Amino acid sequence: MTGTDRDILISRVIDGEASPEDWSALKALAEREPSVWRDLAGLQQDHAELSGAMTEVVAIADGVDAPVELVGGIADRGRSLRMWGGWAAAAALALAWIVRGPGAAEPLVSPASGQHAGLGPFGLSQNSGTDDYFNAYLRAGQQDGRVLGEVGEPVLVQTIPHEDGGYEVRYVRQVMERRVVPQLFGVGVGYDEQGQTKPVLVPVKSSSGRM
Amino acid sequence: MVRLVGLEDRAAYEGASGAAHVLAAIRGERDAQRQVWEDHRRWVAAVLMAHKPRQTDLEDLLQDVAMQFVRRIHELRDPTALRPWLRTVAMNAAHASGRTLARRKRDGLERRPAATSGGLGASGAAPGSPDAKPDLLTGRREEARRLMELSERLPDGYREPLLLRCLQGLSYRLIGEMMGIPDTTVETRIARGRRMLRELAEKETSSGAPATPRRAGQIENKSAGGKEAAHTPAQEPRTHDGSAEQSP
Repeated sequence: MTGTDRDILISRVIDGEASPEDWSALKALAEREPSVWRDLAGLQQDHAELSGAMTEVVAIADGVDAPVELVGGIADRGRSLRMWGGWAAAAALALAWIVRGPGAAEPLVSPASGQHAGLGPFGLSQNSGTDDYFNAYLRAGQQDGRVLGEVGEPVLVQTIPHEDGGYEVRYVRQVMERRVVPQLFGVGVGYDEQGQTKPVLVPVKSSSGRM
Repeated sequence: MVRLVGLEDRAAYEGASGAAHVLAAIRGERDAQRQVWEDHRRWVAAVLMAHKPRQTDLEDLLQDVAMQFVRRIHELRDPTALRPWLRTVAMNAAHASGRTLARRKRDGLERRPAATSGGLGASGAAPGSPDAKPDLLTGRREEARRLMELSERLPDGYREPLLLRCLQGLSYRLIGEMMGIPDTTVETRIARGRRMLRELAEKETSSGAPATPRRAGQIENKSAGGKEAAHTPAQEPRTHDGSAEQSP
């Protein structure tokens, strides 16, 4: 019997996997080498100690649940955003057509285009950060009546753990704007010459209604 | 509260999370995902213990794996491959943690390991402080701590089946299924792992100094003609240094 065979025999006994044949072989071995009992006792004790330590690992594991609400919530929110994102794109298209009209020559005027010598857009310095520009946009928009303000708290979309620690948090900030337009249009589905569907503008009948 | 794991839990490992349950989890049913995770999280923790760096907190790592489980379970094509897939997710998380620690060490940003982590992980809080997690091995015999630490010195491929077997609910067959090796190889590695651990402990006790781990190729060659021959530990992914990563 090799050393490994002996170890396997002992290991089976420790694990409660020994067959009657294994027990017979162990007893026969022990008659020739009584030290096998001492060996068994030592390895059995080690196993018990390690198993005791593993109960602590199990206790930790039992305290960690699957974050189905968190991840599911983010996924649902992502799906929702994607769904409404499509409508938002269509609405933006409609708004552009209403404001500019087909064939309009002059570009849309943006506050960001009003640059001064040595300054960036909005009169901010070149070193200004994203937040500065965003706040300046809000201020400028509120001054000219275009922006009513930021709405609600940022909406959490996704959190991504970073390898170096911390998390990247992705969120949506919503700004309510207003604009006076002569006519309201909705977006419907039409067909082009090839019979392919395309978005078409459909006038909203009641000019006093809210969209 | 510490729950003892015994043979009565075997059913939890062997029978739970049948294919229908796993399929429901793959489809995104939250209750099924919750249940499948609960059925498997213990052995996932044991896999993490076998592969994570000592300084990494087990609970943090397990939460990371739980997050990835929920996020990526829909990628699983074969429900019967759940265990190997989940093991790979866990191993990748442990290796990523190893790489992060190595990078921090290189950049001089290494956090000091908690003095009483006992191998389970660093809490990051000073022992005795209000924020400190209870020392998970406090009150246990010093021998258990010593053996757990000594088991870190076992060659690659030996510690994991040894720790998994200590959960007692896991059969050789299931461990082999997870690790992608025959159950006879699992049995051999567990037996040899126990022997090596005992020798390490005796060597340390007799010398009074930490025993030098023997490399896989230096294992006492008692296995001539044994079952291990066709499955050497060298075939196992490297551990602790994060130098190898598998794709689920």
